[in-house]
Amino acid sequence: MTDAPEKANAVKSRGLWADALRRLFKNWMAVFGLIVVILVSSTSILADWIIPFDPSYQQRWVGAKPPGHEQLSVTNEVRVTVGSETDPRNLSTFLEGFGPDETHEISLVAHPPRELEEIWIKIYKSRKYPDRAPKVREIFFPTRRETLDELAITDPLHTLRVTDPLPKAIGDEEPEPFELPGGATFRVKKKIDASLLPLVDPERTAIEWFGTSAKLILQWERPARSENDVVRIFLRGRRIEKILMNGEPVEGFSAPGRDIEEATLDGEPMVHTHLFGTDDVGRDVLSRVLKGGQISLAVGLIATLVSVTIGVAVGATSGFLSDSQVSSASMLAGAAATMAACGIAGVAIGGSTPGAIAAIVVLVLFVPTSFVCRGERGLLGPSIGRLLASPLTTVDGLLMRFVDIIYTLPYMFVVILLMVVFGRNLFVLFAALGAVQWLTMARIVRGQTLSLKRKEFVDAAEVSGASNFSIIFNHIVPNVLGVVAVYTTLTIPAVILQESFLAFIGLTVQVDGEAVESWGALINYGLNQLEDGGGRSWLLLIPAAFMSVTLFGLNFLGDGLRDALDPRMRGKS
Amino acid sequence: MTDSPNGAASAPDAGAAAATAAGTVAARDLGEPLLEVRDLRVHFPQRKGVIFQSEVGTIRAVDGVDLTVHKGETLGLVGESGCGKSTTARAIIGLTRAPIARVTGSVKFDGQEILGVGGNELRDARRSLQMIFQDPFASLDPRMTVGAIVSEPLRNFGIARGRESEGRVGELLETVGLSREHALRYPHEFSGGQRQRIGVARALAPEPRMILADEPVSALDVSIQAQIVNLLEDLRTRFGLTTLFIAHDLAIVRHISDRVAVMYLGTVVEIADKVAIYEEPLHPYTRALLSAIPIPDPAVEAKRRRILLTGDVPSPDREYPGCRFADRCPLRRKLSRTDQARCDEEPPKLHDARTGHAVACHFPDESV
Amino acid sequence: MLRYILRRLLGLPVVLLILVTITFFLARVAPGGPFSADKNVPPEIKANIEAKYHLDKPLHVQYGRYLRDVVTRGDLGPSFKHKDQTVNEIIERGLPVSFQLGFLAAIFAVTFGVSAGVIASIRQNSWFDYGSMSVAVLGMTIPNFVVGPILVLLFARYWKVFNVAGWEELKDMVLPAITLGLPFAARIARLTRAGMLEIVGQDFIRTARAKGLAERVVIVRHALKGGLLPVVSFLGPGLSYMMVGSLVVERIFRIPGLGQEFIESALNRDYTLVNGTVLVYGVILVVMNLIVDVVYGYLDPRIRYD
Repeated sequence: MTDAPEKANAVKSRGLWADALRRLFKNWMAVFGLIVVILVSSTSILADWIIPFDPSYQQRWVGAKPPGHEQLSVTNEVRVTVGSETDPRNLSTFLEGFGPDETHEISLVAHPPRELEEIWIKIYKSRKYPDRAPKVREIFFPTRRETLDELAITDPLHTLRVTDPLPKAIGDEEPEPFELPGGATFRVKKKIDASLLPLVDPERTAIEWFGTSAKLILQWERPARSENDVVRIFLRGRRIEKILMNGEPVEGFSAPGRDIEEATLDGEPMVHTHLFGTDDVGRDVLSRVLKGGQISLAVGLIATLVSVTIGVAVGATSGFLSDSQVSSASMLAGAAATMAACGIAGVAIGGSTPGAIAAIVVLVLFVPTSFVCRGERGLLGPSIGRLLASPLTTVDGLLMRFVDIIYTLPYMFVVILLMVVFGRNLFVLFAALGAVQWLTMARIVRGQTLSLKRKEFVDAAEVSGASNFSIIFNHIVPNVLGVVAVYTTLTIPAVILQESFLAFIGLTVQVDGEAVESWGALINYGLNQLEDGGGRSWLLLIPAAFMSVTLFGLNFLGDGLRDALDPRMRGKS
Repeated sequence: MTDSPNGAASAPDAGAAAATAAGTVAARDLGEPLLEVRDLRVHFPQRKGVIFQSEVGTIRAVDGVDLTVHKGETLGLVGESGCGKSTTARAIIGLTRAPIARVTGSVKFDGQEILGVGGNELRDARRSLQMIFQDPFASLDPRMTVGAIVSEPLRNFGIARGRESEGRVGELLETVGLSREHALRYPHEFSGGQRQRIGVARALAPEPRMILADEPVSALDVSIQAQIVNLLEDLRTRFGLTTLFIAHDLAIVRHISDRVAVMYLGTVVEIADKVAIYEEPLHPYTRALLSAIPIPDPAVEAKRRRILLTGDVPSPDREYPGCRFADRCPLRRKLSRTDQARCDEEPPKLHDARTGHAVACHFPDESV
Repeated sequence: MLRYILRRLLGLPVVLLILVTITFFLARVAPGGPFSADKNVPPEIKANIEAKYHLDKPLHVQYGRYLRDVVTRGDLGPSFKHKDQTVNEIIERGLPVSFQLGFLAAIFAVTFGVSAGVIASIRQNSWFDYGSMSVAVLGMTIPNFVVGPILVLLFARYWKVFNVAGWEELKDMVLPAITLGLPFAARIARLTRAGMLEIVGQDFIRTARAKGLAERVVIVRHALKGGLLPVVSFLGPGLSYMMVGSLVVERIFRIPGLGQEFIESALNRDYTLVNGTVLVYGVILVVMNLIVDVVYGYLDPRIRYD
């Protein structure tokens, strides 16, 4: 040794990733993006626990209220009770006329109250699924201390839902005597069991049955203590006489004769705040936006993860093996991976996906594989392999043309076409979105791989005895990971955007026959709810703001990551 | 591993410091051949077409190279850029191969044919035949620590694992003039010269018998070049390595080689002992090359006669019926018409014009 | 060049043939598609479809006839959901509206994009530069199904300057054109700015300035042609983005264009109409792309097609 080697400075070794992170944190746009992403993703993950209301829970009597609206915690359906003379059979009469799942309109004419008797209809409402229609658990005549046993026994879970009009009686300032507005319309939707039929008394009409009523029992929802709290509000006329909660007077309502303006329980106001208001049927906008974000992000993440996994594997393999006969094998491997993914997805979604869908999707995904593997022309020299390879390359080339032609169409059209043909289920959405995203990913990784494999360190690894597998996974993949990370963060917003696009134009994905409402659907809903003069604008602006901020955040983060990992790329888009 | 027949050279089981005591290599004594290259041809077909492919031409990067490297010696391989030096080395070690290239001929390493073999045979050969790459910035994986890079051959060839491997890496780094602590760092934290040392350590890791050094210093600053050349020379002595040293810098080749081969347009035109080549070059191309070396003595430099080559370096994409050098050859111009015709029509074979001095020229004895 | 155009034109029928084939067979493999027997189809339509597609005949005969009708007469068949209309009638009604929309949006995008880009490049690093480029980033990131509704809220609902929906008078057209054109204006502004900055740094511009030409002449005569090249090359992919965008815009503003018909047909599973519209979109794209390529080759003499 004739010379002293240059001493590497005593700085602590820092990996490339650490370096990149340091650069990332200097970019305040990216930091903003990162914060947004963390906020949005954590609220989405926690959405099921933190959202204040069930997003599909309607409070029709509340209607559309602007952000910050404080709603008295009287929720749910208003239960109607009748006068003391009422025969329990009359209730059945009322219930009887309707088939399952039908909607009827009933006109009521109310008479001044004579004598008060209550019927308590105890409603069971699941805490876990607060949106489910409440079930009739018990019908009780407190003065007689009788329970309507037949109902309770035969089927305690009948649904009785009386919605629209009664709250009016609470709000108005009119003095006694109480009078329900003549011809007020009830919309009654219920499921009723045939076991109630023996209780029918065909002679009495519903109108008569309601005739003497002036008392309400309200099912009262409050930050849940017990599941079956019954709050009774005694009205005389339209005045509140007393309010009992589980038999105890509620503070603040001890004085009779007040309209409901506020309610407290244990000193806490019995109101809930709709931070972002409610929509026209009284659904909480905040809850809907958070739930929608959960869906949007989940779609974005799953489609991206699928595309990244398949894309990196296929791209790296095909890129590394390009110019060799093995490439056709990589093509098949890609197709096999796709089929496996489809199979897993198909099993996971289950039922609604017939074999035809799987077959077509595999075809759709297989064709791009050959696209990825374009340029694989395994000429094998003078060997017989060339004979084998040339039909493969020709087929590959033909498939290539085919794909080119399909991709003449904007890819959203292809997605729409697929959703029309195969139905609007989640599986088709993932398949259609994932197919193209995966393709792009694979092409990027392949390009990177092609340039990487010409680098001397790949040669060096080969000389060091590394197998192809080891080269791909120890050298190629770690080196493309930077690009993959960047592209992944940019793919998520792209997929969110595409899914929302579809939802916006009405192609909402349906799960169990119900439309899944992502941000796009909410924005569309908000647009249709706009009133002249700009009324109800929050229904549009709030989901739009959430979506825009999230997209911004993800895009900033992606750009920042790219700049951090490769400073030369700075300022290029 | 077999012992070298040359008693002075140490056995190539260069385990560690043990071998340092060994004496110097007797350069003049041609030993048994370790690497024999016969009629090596590397042709790159040029293809066109998307669906139906057709071949439109061939680049003949290496077109009939004959070389023998003897045990313990260092053979320098010189020539202009693009003459096929690196391709030759890459083909020998199996990096250039089908389907990108058509490789024919024969490469025997220690008597075993290694050209065109794959899988385990090739791996076995590479355990004993390693390579140092040209660009120290491209030849180290930027995502790996130096330790991981140097231990890769240990792992792949199943030489050492875990603790043992760590120890070996430390030894190797110290051998090439780095310190053990450097194993935890990444390549981008090192200078070019240090990186090339890492590359050398990696090549040494499987305890090879022969090293192909593909222009190992041409990407480095001149001041660093000397360090690396000295390191290589030192290691060669310590471990009794056989080396094929590729360079375009004649001075460095002269410094490090025992014998020198000169390449021109895909073929070896002259191969001989270092002294013979530099003192009495026979091929007109070698003479032209040597005449281009500046001489540090101004008095001599002033009298140095330069042979200027006319014309561009011809393209390797066509076949030559006669001598490849003919249309640039300063000697051919002085020959008679019939002799010129011979140059144009008959390809000169590499033959011994002197003892141990082979040249591919029909008229090696004519002066320019 | 001529050979290139000819070859592309010769390729056109192949592309269309494949598109027709794909749409034809896609509709037939669809589970519960229009051609399965058990659907609740009004009898008139069923009769129409059967007469049209000869469902009693084997598949290849059906395909042959469909192909023949499409190719020789441009006949795309009866609508599956609209009783008395053919796909051709619906497309003839919707296409001009969509063309108008696209045209207006393109005018808006090019006018605003190019002028903003040129001004930003001339006054590099000025407040105008930063301001317009920030707006451009916003315009590219915020999807048009957010921008559109917000424009509706502000200009049609709140201030009532423009109309909410329809496609009759100018007041109907302004907001849709802006909504559709905004992302393109943003993109074009950025491309123009980048292109101009690159060109302005080049020697021939310095020469032009050195000759003493007025700055305006330098910009308009010399820089603009080269600076706009990236914009022209964006027009090809831009067209396909615009088609996708028109789906949303026509839906927001309830414009009776082709995009709206396409979505309606997609939502109603009106297969014949879906196929017809997709085919029309394909044709437009292929032809327009060819035109863009030719124009680009004409503008940039460095491009050689062979």
